[in-house]
Amino acid sequence: MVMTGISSRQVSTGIGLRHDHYSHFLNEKQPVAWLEVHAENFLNFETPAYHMLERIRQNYPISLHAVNLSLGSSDGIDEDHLKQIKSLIDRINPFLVSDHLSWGRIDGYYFNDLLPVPYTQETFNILATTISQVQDILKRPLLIENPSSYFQYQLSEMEEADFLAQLVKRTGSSILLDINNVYVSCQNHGWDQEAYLKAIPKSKVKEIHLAGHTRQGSLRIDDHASRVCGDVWNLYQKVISLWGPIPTLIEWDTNVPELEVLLGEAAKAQSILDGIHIPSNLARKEIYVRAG
Amino acid sequence: MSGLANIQRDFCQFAKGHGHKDFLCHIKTASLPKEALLNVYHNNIFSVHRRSLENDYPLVFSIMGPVSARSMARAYTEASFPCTGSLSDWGGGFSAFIQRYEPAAVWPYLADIAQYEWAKHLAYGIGEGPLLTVEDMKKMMTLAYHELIFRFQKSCQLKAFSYPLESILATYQKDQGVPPPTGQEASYALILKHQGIIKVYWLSPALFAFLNRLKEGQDIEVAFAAAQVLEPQFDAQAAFSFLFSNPILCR
Repeated sequence: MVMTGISSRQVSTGIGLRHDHYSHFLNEKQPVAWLEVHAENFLNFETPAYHMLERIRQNYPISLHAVNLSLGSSDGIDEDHLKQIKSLIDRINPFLVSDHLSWGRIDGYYFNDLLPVPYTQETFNILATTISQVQDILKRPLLIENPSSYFQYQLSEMEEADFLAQLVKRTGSSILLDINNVYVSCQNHGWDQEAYLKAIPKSKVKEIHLAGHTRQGSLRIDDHASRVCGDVWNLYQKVISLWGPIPTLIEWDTNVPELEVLLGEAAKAQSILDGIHIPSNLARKEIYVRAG
Repeated sequence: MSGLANIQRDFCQFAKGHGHKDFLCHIKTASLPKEALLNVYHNNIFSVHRRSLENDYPLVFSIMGPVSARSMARAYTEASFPCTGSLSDWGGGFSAFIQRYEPAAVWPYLADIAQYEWAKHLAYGIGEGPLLTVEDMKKMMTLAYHELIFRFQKSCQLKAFSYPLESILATYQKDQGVPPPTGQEASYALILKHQGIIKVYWLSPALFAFLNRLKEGQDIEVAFAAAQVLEPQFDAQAAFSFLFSNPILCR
């Protein structure tokens, strides 16, 4: 049996599946409800890494997180790349597919980074067209992740959270809310966290990311290289207490620690999710629909 | 040009090492210098590409040491930004770049090592076909020489190197601090993937020529003649034994 969704009981924390931990997931069942993988690491179906993923997904629902669709590129979508992502989706049938409110490609060159876009009407139109095109081809809604950023553009004329809220409304997509990114960007730009979260339509948030960041002087760098910090845990707790349980992922991409450390972070997030009182079976059903 | 395209093209120029003056104009004034903020992205971009090269070329990085290798990786990235959304498809030009990269000249065999590591990387990403069976071989024995066509595994690559790579690699693998051989003597390898593992076979010049002809689809007589030019006493029986006893041919 292949796992294609997560049950209501498992709303639910996952962790990012990283190469160092493949054998742990192959050898025994780990106490984590689901896994997320970076789509671009599995586009070649002949690699041993892809074969590992095929085996691991027999026991864990997979969320597919793309990093290179470059949704905010003025060039539009790279159709070849999108076709590759679609082939992967067709093979592993993930329960969620996401990418970022960012760009990383121009004139055929890929920068392999999540670069910020200016929040203008022109960018909005480009993103709306591209996201709709991607969803039409993938035949499923996309989750759009809020970015972390280190500068703002002169041209920007909208707040990021409003921009994202309107974008998902226009395109029928959903939001992957990265709480660490909210925190990092708010700290870096002096934005109001409360106002940011207030602008996000909670019914559109289908997944949450939590990760660590570092400080360089007054700047916060989103490097996914450490544990989630106390301020981000507090913000997460606040979001969950206001909005209810949402599938939550622990991301750790640099200096990846022992699996136990990630599982510990996931257990912490789970305890926050479990601390929420779910009033009735109806509410559980609603969660099931949201997660699956 | 649209505002967004203008911003993105100015960023591209910056990332490719043509200065940040144009892009800085797009950044809103903040409490920190704009250059410092832009450098966060710059560093991210180069560390992602450096890590990708380091994964594909571990020995090149190990030989050069982290500081020199990072400088070279940065120079290569600036010169050859990927044109694909999949980083595993990028980096094949590293060997040719190393040959032109002056600071790498102290390791004249480094481009060969890069070529070797890239061949292993490519083989890793190629599927494995069904191996030739004993029954298949028996059937082949009934055919005339000119009727025999050998189908090699898709991951199979025959590589010729300018330096004695087998000895050079052995020197580094033993890590005894002994400098590798410096003589320019060609070496030949067959690299393939079998059961998910990369295998490397070092070949004589004649066996390389023989296999190369067969891989190109030429018949045994042509392959044998090519080998005999290099080694008049070329042992065809030993060559076939090598070919059939290793996971080189597919059905």
